[in-house]
Amino acid sequence: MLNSFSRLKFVGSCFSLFGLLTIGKMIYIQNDSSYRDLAQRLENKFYSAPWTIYPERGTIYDRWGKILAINQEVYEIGVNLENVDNPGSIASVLSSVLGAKYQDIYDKASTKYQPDLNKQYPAVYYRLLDSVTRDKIDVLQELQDDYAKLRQTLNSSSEETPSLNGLTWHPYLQRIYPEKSLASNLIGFYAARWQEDGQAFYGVEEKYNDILTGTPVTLQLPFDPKDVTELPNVLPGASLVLTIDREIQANMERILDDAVKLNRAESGTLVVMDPKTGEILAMANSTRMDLNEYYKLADIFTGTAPYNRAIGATYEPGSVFKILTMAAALDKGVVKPGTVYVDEGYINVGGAPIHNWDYLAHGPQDMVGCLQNSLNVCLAWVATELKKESFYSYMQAFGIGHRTKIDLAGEVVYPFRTPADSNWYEADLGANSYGQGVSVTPIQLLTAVSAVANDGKMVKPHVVKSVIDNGRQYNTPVEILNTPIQSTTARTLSSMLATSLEQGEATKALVPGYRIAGKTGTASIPDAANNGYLKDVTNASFIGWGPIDDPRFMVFVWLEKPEGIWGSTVAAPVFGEAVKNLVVLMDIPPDDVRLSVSNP
Amino acid sequence: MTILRFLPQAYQQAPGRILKQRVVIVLAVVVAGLVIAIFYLWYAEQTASNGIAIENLKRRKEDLVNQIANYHSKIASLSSEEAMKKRAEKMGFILVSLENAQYLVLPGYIGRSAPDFSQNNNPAPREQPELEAAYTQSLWDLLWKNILNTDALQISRAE
Repeated sequence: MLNSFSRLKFVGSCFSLFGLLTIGKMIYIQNDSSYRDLAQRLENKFYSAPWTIYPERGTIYDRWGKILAINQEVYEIGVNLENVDNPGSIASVLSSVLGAKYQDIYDKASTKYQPDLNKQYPAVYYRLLDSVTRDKIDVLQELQDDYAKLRQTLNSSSEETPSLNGLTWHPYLQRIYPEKSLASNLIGFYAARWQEDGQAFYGVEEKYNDILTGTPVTLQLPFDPKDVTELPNVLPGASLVLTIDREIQANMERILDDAVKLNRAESGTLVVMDPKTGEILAMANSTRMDLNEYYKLADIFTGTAPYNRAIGATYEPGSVFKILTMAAALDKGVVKPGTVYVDEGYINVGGAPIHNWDYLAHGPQDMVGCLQNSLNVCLAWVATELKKESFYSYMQAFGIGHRTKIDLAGEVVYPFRTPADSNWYEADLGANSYGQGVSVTPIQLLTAVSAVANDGKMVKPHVVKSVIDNGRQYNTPVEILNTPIQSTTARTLSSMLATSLEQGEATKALVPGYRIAGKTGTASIPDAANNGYLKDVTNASFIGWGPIDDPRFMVFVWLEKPEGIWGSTVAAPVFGEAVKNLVVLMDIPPDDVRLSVSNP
Repeated sequence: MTILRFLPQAYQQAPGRILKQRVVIVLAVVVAGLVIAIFYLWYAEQTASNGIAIENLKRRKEDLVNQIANYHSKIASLSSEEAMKKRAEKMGFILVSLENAQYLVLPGYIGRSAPDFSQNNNPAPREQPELEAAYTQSLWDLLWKNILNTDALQISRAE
């Protein structure tokens, strides 16, 4: 009896111990991270599938709400190889409806269904075409239904009976640009063959890609329909409101295209900016592309051609740079508007002889005359009076040699040599004073000269006016980069430049009824191969603003290698034409009307 | 009568009666099991139907988002600068030039005002989950939280 009781006790103890160990192991498994990871992996593999929700890419508007970039529904077409009955039907339908290559489609649709991933060529689904519009899909749907009815009527499952079984499609959103090439250099583009591999290039598309894209969300979607999962609220990417005005942009592009054609220039750039806020109203380049056909990029922008010359190309500005030299000298007080310089047509600075553009001596000239006749010799003298330390200090303050940090991808800068650099020579002071031996981008020059137009304050240029995110609008504040000159200097120089224009420097830039300040530029083009300058080709440019008592716009024009070489005959008329359009588009009445309203 | 309940049974019950009792117990267990199974099946069917309905609604929502995007892109194409210019020219409009522009003083007119973009299509982020807890609860959770949980009962009574 005792023995049997002990045996029973022993067996009981064994079972109890086994039970306790099992419970212990269960607790261990429940709390061990590696087992938890294993369970999660198994669950992910057999119980659910990952699913990524891509937010809708934000819209891009112009300043008045006109759409510049948006998304449209397109379809990806593919074949579920398991269900394909007749690859020939699929190929012939896709080639007739969508113009696809028959043999290409046939080869793909005929691929043997092989679901085993461990085999050499697993194949379940084949992508055939992308970017197919909804109207084409409606045609395919109709044909697929007709073919299915036909098979049903014939009661045939033969491979020879026409069938579109296996042909499938699903929608996704693709970027489109309704304005095609308008402002293409500023907008940039978003290239995405498939939703998951999109990439933004150039302009605001690249610069603001992160906020335009939004945040994609990946979740595990269970296969079991009764295991309902809460779908996250995936917010669309933020939208951008640009500072550009579509109508102004379109007009400036037309004017520029005509000018490039008329003057047989190699390229052209025209930028319009509000000097008080730094808002870019238009940024036109003569080389543009339809953003919906971004795959033609390499054919249009060949070699090292910059995508946006306004921010991506540097050039020696020539005489337009004299504005900055004169601004520095007036601000420092080394000259006054009435200071007279006797021009002998020649000056030597640092051992380098400097001549005027016409190789003539112009005799006694006040500072307005120096600007009006665009005298290199006079401006070189002004720079020597200013002394190199002050001259370069002012140029640094104007941001020469620095990026403007405009909110566009691809801004470049050319290093500006100063006396602190080992490769700077005394002769550079003379050359720099009239815009030689220094390279700037159009946006850099506009930003620097904005100080003269805007009471001494240099504004940061920008192209995004507002960001719209989660139903809220965030406006870009006006940013003053620097105040290189005093407001009195700025007003004096504006008046001097207006007078010099009126007295004959470039009368073609004038617009009746409006007082405008501006300066021409005719710059030689460096010849790197021969360490000199190219003969008979120039960069013709013009920079100006108005109305000078209350500037609303600044316009910069640059024509590269035009047939007529002078800025006054090539670029000034383009400026004049641009301003004639601008004052109408911006509702700026003539000075007499405007001043009579403000001072009745 | 109360005392009699605790008295031991003096005689064994008739075999037929015992059999009947056992059959009733077995049947009671089977019926209870069936009731639970039917309830579970009903619950599972309801959840699955709702799950499929939610899936369909999700697809419909995606479809509508795409359709809205399509309409927006169509509006954008129809009102593009090129299209509007062509339409305006067809209707006989010409661009006003500086030479023929006339300016009138309109008291109180402040010029073209910038559009308000804050009312655009971006919805505000959702704070509460849209899916009710009942759709994601297990049967056990449902019973425990809604029927057996005494705290919940007390709260509902208090209400």
